[in-house]
Amino acid sequence: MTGPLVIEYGQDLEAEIGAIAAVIETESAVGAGFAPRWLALELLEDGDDVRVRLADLAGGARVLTAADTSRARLQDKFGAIASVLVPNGRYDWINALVRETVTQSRPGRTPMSDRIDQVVTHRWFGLPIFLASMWVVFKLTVDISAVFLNWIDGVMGGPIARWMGALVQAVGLGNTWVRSLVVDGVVAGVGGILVFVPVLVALYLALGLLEDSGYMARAAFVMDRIMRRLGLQGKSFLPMLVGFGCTVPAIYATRTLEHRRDRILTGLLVPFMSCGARLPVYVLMAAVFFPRSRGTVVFSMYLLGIAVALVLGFLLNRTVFRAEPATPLLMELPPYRLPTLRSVWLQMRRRTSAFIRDAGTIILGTSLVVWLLMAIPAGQGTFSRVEVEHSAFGAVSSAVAPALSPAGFGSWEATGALITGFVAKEVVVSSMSQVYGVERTGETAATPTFVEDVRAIGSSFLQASADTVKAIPAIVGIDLLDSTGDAQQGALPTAVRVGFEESSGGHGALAGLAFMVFVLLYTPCMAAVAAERHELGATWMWASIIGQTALAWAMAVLVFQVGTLMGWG
Amino acid sequence: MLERLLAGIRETNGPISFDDLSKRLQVERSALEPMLDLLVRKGLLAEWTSGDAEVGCGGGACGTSCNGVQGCPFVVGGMPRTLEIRSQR
Repeated sequence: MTGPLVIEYGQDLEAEIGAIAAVIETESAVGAGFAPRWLALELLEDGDDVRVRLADLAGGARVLTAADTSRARLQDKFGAIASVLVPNGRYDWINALVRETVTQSRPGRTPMSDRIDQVVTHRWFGLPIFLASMWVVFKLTVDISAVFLNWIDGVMGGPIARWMGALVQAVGLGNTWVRSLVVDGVVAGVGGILVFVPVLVALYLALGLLEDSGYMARAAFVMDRIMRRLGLQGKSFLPMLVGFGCTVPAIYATRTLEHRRDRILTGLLVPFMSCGARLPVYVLMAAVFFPRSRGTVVFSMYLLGIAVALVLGFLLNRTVFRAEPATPLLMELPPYRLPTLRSVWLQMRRRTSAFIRDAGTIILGTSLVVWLLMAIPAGQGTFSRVEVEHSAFGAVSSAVAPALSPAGFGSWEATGALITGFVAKEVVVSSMSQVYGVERTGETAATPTFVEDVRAIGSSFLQASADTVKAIPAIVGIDLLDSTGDAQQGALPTAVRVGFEESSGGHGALAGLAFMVFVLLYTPCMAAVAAERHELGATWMWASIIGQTALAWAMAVLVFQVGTLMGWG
Repeated sequence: MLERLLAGIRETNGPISFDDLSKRLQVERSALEPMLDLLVRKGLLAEWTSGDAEVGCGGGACGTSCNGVQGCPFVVGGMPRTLEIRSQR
């Protein structure tokens, strides 16, 4: 027969157990109902139930006081770990017992998931693999979707615009400002951003595959190493990751950080993570100026955003904020699995439909405001019958444009698009579509019939589908389309190219690159500004707006001026 | 054992997975997780999951790129359960 199980908790803890047990034994009402050692351990472990029951017993208060005194002594000696000294002793005992009694069989073959992780999350290989994965994602996203992007652009700018114009004509408003509102405001603005739906579909498909496979968890694991370079506390890495999707929730997510210093630093760096709204701008500019390497150019914008955040984080951490070193993270990595078509499809559909739904709200609203500003004459002309350059929109844009001339895109069109971009980054593209679209008015050739339009849409869709399949080998350098890029460009890209070539003195590609850098670095959107004010306060909000705009200007000028001096572009 | 576990996390230079920590401490994964849960309950480890991002997604969204927490590829399904040693500052 064996005695009761007694675990030895070590000298310090045993002394306190003994002290509490001694008090319990002197209180008959307490000692009668509980074994003194068990009760002492419960009280040291902060057993709430026991404390409640003791409070009602005669002498219970004295026992509780003794327990609190013991806990305070342990706290002084061991710090935060004091709260787990009792379970720690139990686990030590169990561990020793297991070592004595359990014989480990020879370890089996390492599971495939672990073997993949040894490479994918490797200290040195992890980051290059992550970057390569992201490069493939953007290459797929931009290159494969480009054919359909051109198809939708053609449909929006051609048949849809014509049909809407004809509809307005049919209700007797063809010669009024309503026609301009519908065609130049709604179709050009909302249509200009909807053409990027194929890009987002491709992006969500690629990310869905990575997500479903379990790789995104590894990406988070690898990204943490980068974020730690910023000197950010571990939890800062969540807002930074969310920032790649949208800056606004990322700024709000900083409130989960414990210390205000970390919240402000993270909130200031989050906007440099390139959000999804900037993607259409990159795609447009890369397609215009870098048609053969657009995927790589878009990818490099994301990298540049991370690099800027790294450098700024490093500098701010050592000057303004002086944060403590980040503590290591412990992550649960799910096993790898084959993505299922249904799951990827559902995710893709949900995200794309949200994009389309929202295009009908904020993009439509901003497009109408831009149209209104373009319809209001600033000097000459009458409402809706004024050259855009002489409208309120053109006047404000022209006044600001000289400030952007050193960056090579000091035209009123590009400046106006950037000003509207303060509302939301997608609006940069829809504004460009409106500004350059308005200028194209009246340049169209003979109008096809409705049937011809429908037939053309069908045949061009089939051609686009075939070209999309042919575009896949282009990822590995096999160009079955044999395209020069320029030949496939629609009216907007062509107008953008001409505009940038003019404003930059023939260095259009450099100006386009500088424009992308500016879009990457300046204030993401009004909603982000509101979020910054809410979470960081007005002072830091202004610091963020001014700092980001100044940095965006400086970097854009640097890219253009250095590029020009070096003879690039 | 719990002290060893906390020290094991502290001593890593960078993130560490549950499996790696389990191997490093020579503790079965099934035994490790209750210990981690206890440390979370006792406030020595802070736990955060995609739920923390919902705080952000509840706060609003910009133009068209944010589809809420359910649409965020960087949060839903992608965010592993993550623990860190709670700051003593």
